[in-house]
Amino acid sequence: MAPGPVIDLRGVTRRFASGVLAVDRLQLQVAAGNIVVLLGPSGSGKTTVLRLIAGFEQPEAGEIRVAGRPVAGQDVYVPPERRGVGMVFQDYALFPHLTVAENVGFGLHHLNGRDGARRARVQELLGLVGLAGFERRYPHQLSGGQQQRVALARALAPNPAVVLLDEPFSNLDADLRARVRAEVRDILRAAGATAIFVTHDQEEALSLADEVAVLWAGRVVQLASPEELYRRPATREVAAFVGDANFLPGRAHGEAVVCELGTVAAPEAPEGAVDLMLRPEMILPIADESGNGRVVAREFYGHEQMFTLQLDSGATLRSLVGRRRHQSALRLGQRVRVEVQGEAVVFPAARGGAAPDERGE
Amino acid sequence: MALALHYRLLTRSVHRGRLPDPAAVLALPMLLPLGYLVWLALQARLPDLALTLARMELPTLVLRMALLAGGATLLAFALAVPWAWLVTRTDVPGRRLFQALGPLPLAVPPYVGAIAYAALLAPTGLVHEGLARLVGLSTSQVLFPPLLYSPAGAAFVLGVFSAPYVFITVQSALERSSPALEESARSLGLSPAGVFWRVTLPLLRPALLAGGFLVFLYAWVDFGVVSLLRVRTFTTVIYNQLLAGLSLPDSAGSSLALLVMVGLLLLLVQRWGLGGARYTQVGSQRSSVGLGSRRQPLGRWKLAALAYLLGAVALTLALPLAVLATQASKLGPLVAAGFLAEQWPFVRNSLAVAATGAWLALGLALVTAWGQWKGRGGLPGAILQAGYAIPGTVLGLSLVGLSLALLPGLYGTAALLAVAYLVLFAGPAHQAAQAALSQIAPAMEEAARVLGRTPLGAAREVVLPLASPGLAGAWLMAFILSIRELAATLVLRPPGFDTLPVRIWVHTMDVGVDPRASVVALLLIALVGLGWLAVLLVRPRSSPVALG
Repeated sequence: MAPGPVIDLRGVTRRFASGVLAVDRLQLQVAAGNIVVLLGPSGSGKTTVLRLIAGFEQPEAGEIRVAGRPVAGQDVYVPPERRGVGMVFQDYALFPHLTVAENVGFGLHHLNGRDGARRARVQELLGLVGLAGFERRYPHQLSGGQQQRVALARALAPNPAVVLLDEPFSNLDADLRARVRAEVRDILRAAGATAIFVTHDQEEALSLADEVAVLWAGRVVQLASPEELYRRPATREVAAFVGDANFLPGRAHGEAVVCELGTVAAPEAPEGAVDLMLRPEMILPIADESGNGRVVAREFYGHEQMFTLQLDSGATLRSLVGRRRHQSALRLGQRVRVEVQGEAVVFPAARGGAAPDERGE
Repeated sequence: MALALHYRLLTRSVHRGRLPDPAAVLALPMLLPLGYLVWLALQARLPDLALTLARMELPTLVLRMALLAGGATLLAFALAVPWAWLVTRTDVPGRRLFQALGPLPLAVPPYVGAIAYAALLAPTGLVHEGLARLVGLSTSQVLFPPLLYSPAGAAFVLGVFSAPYVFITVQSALERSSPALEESARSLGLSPAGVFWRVTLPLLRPALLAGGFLVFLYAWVDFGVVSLLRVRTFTTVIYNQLLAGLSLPDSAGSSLALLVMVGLLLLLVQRWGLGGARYTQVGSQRSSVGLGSRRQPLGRWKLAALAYLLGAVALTLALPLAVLATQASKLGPLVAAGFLAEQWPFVRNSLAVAATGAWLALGLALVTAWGQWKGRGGLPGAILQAGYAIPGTVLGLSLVGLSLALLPGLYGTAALLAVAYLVLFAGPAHQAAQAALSQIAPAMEEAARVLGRTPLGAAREVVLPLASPGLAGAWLMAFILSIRELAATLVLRPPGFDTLPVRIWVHTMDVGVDPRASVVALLLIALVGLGWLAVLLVRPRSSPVALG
């Protein structure tokens, strides 16, 4: 394996004919064997990044290298068929007029005339994705999850430098999605493949990725491991987009911030006015008639429940409480005091005060 | 290496829009006949042109054509709208059969329909002779029903045989709009009749407009029916000018006047057509509950509806075919067999030029539809559509002059006929090809590309195989339209090179209604019908292709 990143985008810019700046001086490096997820709201440019790497779009500026070889940039354009990348499309794009085996073997045209080698490779991949014995079926005779795996086998067959997956789970039912996700990740790991996923689903991103690149308005605003991303989001937007977030105004001093909920530990906080970000599971309501808030809503999920609390100042907080906690007895309208568990993340104060529970959709 | 570099630069240039779009390059020459007509008309001496136009009695002519086309459109609506509604929205008996029969009258060219009805309603036709014998009068004293040889008769024939245009557009619109819209109107307190007037009909407006426009345009520029029924319109006048050897510029001037009217018509329809409302449904197209449970029960109206449909089928299919068969049988089996054998050269001519024209049309349509599929804009396709709106006689006139000026070798050859079919029918072929390609997700081609295929390889191995049923349909459509084309063929055919429509026309124009015309007409219908059958057989099946 060559040293250096398998995928290397430097200063890549793509502006559509409509004038929309889809990708803006984007930097992205992906190391061999890594699974990277591009996460962003719709319109953030994540699919365009994938199409730039595949060669279906050309950048106005910047350079793209695949396995160290420049494929797009100043006076360089390598067409998709000679880039050595694999792709799994959102609707799978299986060829309906070809059998499963013909679909998987489609990219093995360098083995034309060597039917034995070709068949062996197809078998190997169908075994890898658990579809041995399905060779002669046609795509419309398969379930959604099976089609998904055929598409993956087809993309992996020619041994591409990287596999690109464009929202590959969006067409699956919710109950199937988690299972197929795990299967796909295991297959990619078993194949030792480098992969770039695109998704707008933060849960999917966190559960799949070695690294998540959060895209906002055509730029990578944070590239980090899922844990890092959740615990230490780089901006308010990232914090709100990845998981639920509560924001409260406060004043930082030393390693702590003073806010409505009292003093909260916050290392690395700058001095002065700040906004605190608290995840729902950090907020613990305790029944207390002299507390400064009350329960205004409750959503029961079985293994845990989400409370919406309103503080006397008017701010609302979302609080996630596990089943074993005695808080299950909290009633609507009950007065509570709020305890904070763990360390808060701090952002420079937003103008206009606290904005509770922003979701970046 | 040099080749690879060349290829790279080429793809790059096309990608960045530096090279002209090949579809536009190929489509633009289709505007030559129109451009030449304008140029030719500019050569006309103004006093001569004015005289020509004055002789044509323009106001009378235009009024007659407007009544003709308007009447045909109303009749087509009256026949086809209830037909389409009954088979898609009610439980009328024989629903599927009547649904399948709806588009079928298109297999009968309107001028053949004119022959059939003329045999019934001519001064010495079957109806008048029968009535005369019944009441003991001479045929000239029978005043009812009126004779077919009038603008009203032409409107009747054109309306009956172009009703399928309305049926097809209205029926597909009804199938696309969910019955839930009508059900919610019912739940909001409207009566069934109220639902029809306030929901169903307004939703159908674009389809009615599109179908009605097709009928109106067809009647406006028709040549076959009006010439057989001796009704003077623009197209017959222009044809007679050509026969009379009137100077090309003067004929071009009058042709242009006709085209300007067609253009104004198009503009009018677009302006007052659609307004700002949306007519396709927002959200999910079809609910999961089967349509079967949602048909309007007709109750005691069932028999009346059935009678209506039977009457419509009789008028558009059964009666004309029966009359043609009766007429043909007058010839006697031996004579008929001998006569049929004599038709072989004309069958061969028809097949050869129609097939050539259809291949040319499909080839061009494939390039333009491909460009549109790749998101390069619909202008080339629109240019092809313009060709469809040129009346056959006018196109014939223009191609005569154009070939003499540019390629004298082409004039008077059968190849020029194929060119005329290309100009006329590349538009419909483009529409069919585009519909076929639009079924294929762009990701199909992209998937082939990342799996190592060049653009050509991806087209050959993936896109064309997937689109092939629809493309075969496009070819057959161009073929059917070509093989029944009369007006341009009459003007452009080489001496001695007759096609079946020309033979029908000759037999009818020479001696009035002639049994031999009916024989040739049945032969033509059989050929068109065979093509039709092929269209039905290769029609894309929805399940595998809809994937991805």
